[in-house]
Amino acid sequence: MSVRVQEEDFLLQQEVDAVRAEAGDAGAVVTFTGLVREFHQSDDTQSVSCLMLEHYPGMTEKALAEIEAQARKRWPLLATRIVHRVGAMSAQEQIVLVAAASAHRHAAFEAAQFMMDYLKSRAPFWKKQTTSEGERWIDSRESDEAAISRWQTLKSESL
Amino acid sequence: MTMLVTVQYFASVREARGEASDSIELRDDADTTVLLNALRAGPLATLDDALFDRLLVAVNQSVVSGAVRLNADDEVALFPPMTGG
Repeated sequence: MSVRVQEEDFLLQQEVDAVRAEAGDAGAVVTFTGLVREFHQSDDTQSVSCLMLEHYPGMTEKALAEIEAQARKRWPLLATRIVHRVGAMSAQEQIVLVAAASAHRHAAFEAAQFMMDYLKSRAPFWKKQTTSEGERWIDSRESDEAAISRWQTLKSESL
Repeated sequence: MTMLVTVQYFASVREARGEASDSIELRDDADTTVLLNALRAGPLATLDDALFDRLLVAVNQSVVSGAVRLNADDEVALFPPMTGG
């Protein structure tokens, strides 16, 4: 189990190697890498020259660890990892990594998606983008909240 | 009796307020609703309704809902909905 919040970029292979070393006899490792998009919304005409990621030190690590712990309670995972960057980034840079390892693929796929869905609206990060028109805080999306509701529904159905 | 509660602000709330935190005197049985009302009447009086109405309140680094009783040494923070990932 590991969560990290850092300004510097990460190396995907290095993270996967660490997850595999921790996981032992895993049959599956799923990773998700989030990238900074040049156009935040499909109808944006101004490209993003800079993305600033602000966070709440202390609470961020606590929230990520909680999300990771929930995933491990829900699926038989052998290793998990969340790395989230903060500070200034440019378009197409890596911003976030989640990884999950398990004996079989379904648990790893679902756990990686679960951790990303929760991270988007339950971990205290805020994005501000700079375009040629100026700076703007990015609004939260209803679709992100809906993604979390889906997991809650799934949970009650399986009980 | 009163207590002094310190509130940290993040992201658009911090920028709109122009400060990273405020300390506000509340009666010592105050809850988060009392705090929000006191801030709205004071340091956050000029905050946009659209932003104020969507504010999340964290007490000791966990988001809370409804009226939660506060203690003077609680770590309290206000911020907009999160947009990570």
